[in-house]
Amino acid sequence: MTVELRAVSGAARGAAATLVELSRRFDPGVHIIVGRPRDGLYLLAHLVAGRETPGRGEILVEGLAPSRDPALRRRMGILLERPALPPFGTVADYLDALAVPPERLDLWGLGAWRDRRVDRLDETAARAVELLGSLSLAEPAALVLVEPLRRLASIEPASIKTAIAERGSHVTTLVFTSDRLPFDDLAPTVHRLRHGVWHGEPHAAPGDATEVQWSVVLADRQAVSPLGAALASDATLEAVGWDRPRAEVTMRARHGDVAMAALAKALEAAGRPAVVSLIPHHPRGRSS
Amino acid sequence: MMVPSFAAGARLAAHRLRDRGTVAVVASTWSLAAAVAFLQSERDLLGAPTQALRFTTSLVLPLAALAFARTVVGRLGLAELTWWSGRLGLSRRGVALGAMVALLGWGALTWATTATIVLTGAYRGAPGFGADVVATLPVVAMGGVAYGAWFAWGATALTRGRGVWLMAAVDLVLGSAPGALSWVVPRTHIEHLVLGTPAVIAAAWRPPMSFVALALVTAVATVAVALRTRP
Repeated sequence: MTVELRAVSGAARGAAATLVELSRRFDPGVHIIVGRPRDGLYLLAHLVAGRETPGRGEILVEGLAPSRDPALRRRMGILLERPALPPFGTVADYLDALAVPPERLDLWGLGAWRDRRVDRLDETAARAVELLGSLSLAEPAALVLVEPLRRLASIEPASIKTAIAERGSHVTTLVFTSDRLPFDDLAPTVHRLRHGVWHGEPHAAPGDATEVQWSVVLADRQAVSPLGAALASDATLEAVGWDRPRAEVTMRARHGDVAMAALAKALEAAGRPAVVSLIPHHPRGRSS
Repeated sequence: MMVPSFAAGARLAAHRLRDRGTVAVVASTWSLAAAVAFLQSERDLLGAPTQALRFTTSLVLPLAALAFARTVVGRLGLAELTWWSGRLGLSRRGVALGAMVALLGWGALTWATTATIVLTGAYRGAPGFGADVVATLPVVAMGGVAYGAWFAWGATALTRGRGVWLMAAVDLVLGSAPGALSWVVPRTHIEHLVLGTPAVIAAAWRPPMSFVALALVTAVATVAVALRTRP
């Protein structure tokens, strides 16, 4: 039940996102892939789901290529950023086609949707039905879930996370998101995608993490770019930005000590510029 | 797996064609065809069938075929349209081909019924009506099939199915251009079959060859759709 990327490259049609030589093996468990659409996040999700074929390299789920194997896709739980339900039939028909008992709808309080026509569902309802179907497959080969806590109608995030955790205990579950924090309590492995390449090694998300953000104000504007670049190359940080006119560099990290360690290293690399102040911002706590 | 996929594709196309837009397109096609036939027969009873058929097959029916293709594909393109089936373990290629065949069938039916209306209005009970219907219907139905395939091919190109507009432009431009390039588009062959030999076709080019050419356009477009959609 592994998902393997072997030197995968590809570009999304009509979009700026490009993936460059991505290789990685995902074993059963919850994997959070953090990035933005322009980093190739959705493109990678489409490739793993078999919706697109990589330009180069290969993607294997249980040793088979999902883009060429409809039977394999049938056994994959897939939720992409936009819903893709059949244009006809009811919600119950759709779940029936996935061999998922319609009674599963009751688990998430969606029992009233059973006889609704799928082409009449709005986007959030359609995504909810797709997610339910994906998480209810009998023996899934893998789960590919894009932003499974967003744009969903009427479902408590806690219920979704419980279902993901249950599945993730024995199925390779790839969650593609721009915000890792809501999933930290699932103790996932975090993979960061930036500009189409892996940024750093996969690491475990700290279950008790509280994300911190610091602003570093420098005495000299000339020192902003070198310090910003040094911090940006540090894989332990979540995000780095800098504002030259304000002589300010901002960094986000999972822990205060991680941020300070990264800053010390970056200050060294940037020639020890004079720091005027170090301003902590309100921490972003876990959302659930 | 191919048969359920094919059936799902046909069901998909039938479902999408079953809307008010399709009814409006068919109703306006028939009305326009009847009006043109009536007006032509008022002007020139002898030439009315040919002239009315010419107008209908060169403008009204290709537009109807374009509208049907847009109705089936929507703003998605065939690849996007069939992704849901890929999720259910069906072959996207099979679904696309099933949808395409339903589109061709609907096109052939619309073209044939429209041609019958045109001939009925143009002949107004004059002798020769029955023989002309028998000779025209296979040709016109083949035209509907070829145009359906032509636009289905277009629906696999460009994003959001915008390739159908490209194919419409290619048909219009090449269909009225001199030389061998015009032979690749359905417009040339339908004109040839309905009106006799136009200038763009070589004198040695007999009508049955245009019928075969339309079948070839359909076959090539079908293969292109199959190749351009993923398993």
